Amino acid sequence: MVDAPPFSDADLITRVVLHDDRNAFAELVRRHQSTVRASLRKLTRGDEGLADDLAQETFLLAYRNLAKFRFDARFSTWLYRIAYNTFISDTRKMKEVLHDTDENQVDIPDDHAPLAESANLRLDLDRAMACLNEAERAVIVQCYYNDLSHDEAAQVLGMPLGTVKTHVLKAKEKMKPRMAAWQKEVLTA
Amino acid sequence: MNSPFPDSSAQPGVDWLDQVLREDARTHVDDAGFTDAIICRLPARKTTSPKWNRWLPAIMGAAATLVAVGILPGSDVFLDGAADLIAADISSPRVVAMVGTLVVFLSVALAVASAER
Repeated sequence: MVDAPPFSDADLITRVVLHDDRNAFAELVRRHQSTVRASLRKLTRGDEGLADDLAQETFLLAYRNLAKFRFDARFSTWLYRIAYNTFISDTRKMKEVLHDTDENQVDIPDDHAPLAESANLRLDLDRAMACLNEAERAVIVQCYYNDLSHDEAAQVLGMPLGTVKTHVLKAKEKMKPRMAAWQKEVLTA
Repeated sequence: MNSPFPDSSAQPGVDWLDQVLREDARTHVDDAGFTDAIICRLPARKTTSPKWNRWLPAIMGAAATLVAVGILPGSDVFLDGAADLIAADISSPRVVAMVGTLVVFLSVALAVASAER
């Protein structure tokens, strides 16, 4: 059985804000780095270097603005919002993708080959996610990788709730054909 | 495009893609020095000096000026200048220009000092 952490996120935040306790902030980073980095890797389509740079920027921004955290949402949700805004800001700087349109899809070879035979599940999943537009990918990342409710994802992404739900459905519709080879395996597992 | 597999909605309660995504989301990213790198990049701690410390340079400066004026030879020039300034007609252009210049210099010095602090 895993012991509960001795300090809650709120305790640690208070220590950082009041006493500039760097150990407390390090503990916050340790707790949340995996999720933040994993979700940024998905958003950057697997660019681990860029994702880690953005994750560093995210935590530094969080540190600078920690006194503004109002405890009216989970700390993780607040952090995901910073991470997403950092990603969007970087994307704008790079002038790669400005708007979510289907024309911006990555050119992924769609040879209808049985995916299960050609690559492992994660690779296929990454390829399937690469076919999503930015908004759809962001919604999938928030709802599945950051484990947020649709409502929380809407807040993080600054989208109406209905749009989030629509993007989830559309994203899954797009991904399912590309992941079809895994369906049987997953259902019989 | 026809889906190569049956619609998962035909199997209530089971969305296999949900399972795949949630399984993938459980992947842990090793810290591998990430936290240490963040802590190294945090801004330097703010050093808070006591209040009296802020006034110390000004007080010492004023004291040194008084001592210099009282002790150093030729310092009468400053006293005479101050006396002339006080005795002069405050509305004369010469005095206004002098006082204005002093105010400008003092403002710039204060602005620079507060910006550096």
